[in-house]
Amino acid sequence: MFPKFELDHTVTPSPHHPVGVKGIGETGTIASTPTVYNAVLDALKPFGIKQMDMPMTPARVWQAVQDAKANGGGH
Amino acid sequence: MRPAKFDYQRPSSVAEAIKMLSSSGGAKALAGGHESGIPALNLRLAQPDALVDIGRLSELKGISASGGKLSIGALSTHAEIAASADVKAHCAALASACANVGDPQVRNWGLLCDGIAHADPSSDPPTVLLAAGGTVHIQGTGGSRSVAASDFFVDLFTTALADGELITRIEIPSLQGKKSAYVKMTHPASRYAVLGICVVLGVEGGKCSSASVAIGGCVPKATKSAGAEAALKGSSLDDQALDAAANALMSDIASAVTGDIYAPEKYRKQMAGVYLKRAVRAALA
Repeated sequence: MFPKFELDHTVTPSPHHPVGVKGIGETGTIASTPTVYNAVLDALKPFGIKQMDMPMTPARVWQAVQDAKANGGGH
Repeated sequence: MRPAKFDYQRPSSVAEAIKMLSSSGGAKALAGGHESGIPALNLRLAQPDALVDIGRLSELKGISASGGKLSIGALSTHAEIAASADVKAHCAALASACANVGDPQVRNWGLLCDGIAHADPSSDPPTVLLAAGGTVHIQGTGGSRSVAASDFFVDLFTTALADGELITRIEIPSLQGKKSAYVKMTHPASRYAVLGICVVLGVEGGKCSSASVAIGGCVPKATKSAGAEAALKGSSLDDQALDAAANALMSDIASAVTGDIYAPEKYRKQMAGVYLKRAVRAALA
């Protein structure tokens, strides 16, 4: 026989997001995009690039490097 | 999308096909066409009165090499060209270009001459044909003629082919003894060339004795680069010569480069220089 239980809920807003939302459903796949994004940004660290718009196409990565060089970044 | 109404005709010889093409003002030849012609019909960009299906004409088939020349029939598929021992031996760059056109379905249906007649700037074979100094053999009501690749590609989707004319075959002088390569930046979705470069080099005693450089994909038509050729010829093909050739190529194409949201103009121009160096290194490898 199914046990008797009480329903309740808890609210723990994410401190990492302006409106506190969290991902649910396919949460495993959510991490892959920022992982790649962070890997590209890490590779571009020598140029002082801290932010880029998605999608990171080859042309956008190239342009970001050109802009960084023009602004005195890179070595 | 459905095409407008048209008649379907199937000739049994090249002569009959030309008669059919010239008897009706709005007749178009159909061979492969699945990459270009059929979509154009479905979008009603083309509304021919009749389609003349030349797909079964045995006269237009076959690949052969003799007398220092490679001859490729108009109805050869990309897959047949990529697998041909004659093409590999006499124009390896064309074999490798055809091996990387689209996907297997495209290569099994698509025809070399379809792509050449269509003159899509993002197509691979025109660039190789131009660099290799090939000629296009054409038949029409006035008989047959041959046009050098350098005269055949006139502009975006525009060739020297007149209404009622058919490409019968392509001829390429054997590149045996020369170093050649075709490299391309492939669009990740369509597999079309964002840019493609073909180099044909003569190398004697460590020096470049002749150089032919053609680029496609990022310009309205397959285009030769006299500047890059001059920079390579006579050099020892070292890094310095490659840098000079890359800069000359970028300067030659500067006013003609086209771009899109995936690869804007200035990116393609810069990559043209990078890919030229890759092409030369691939040819020498």
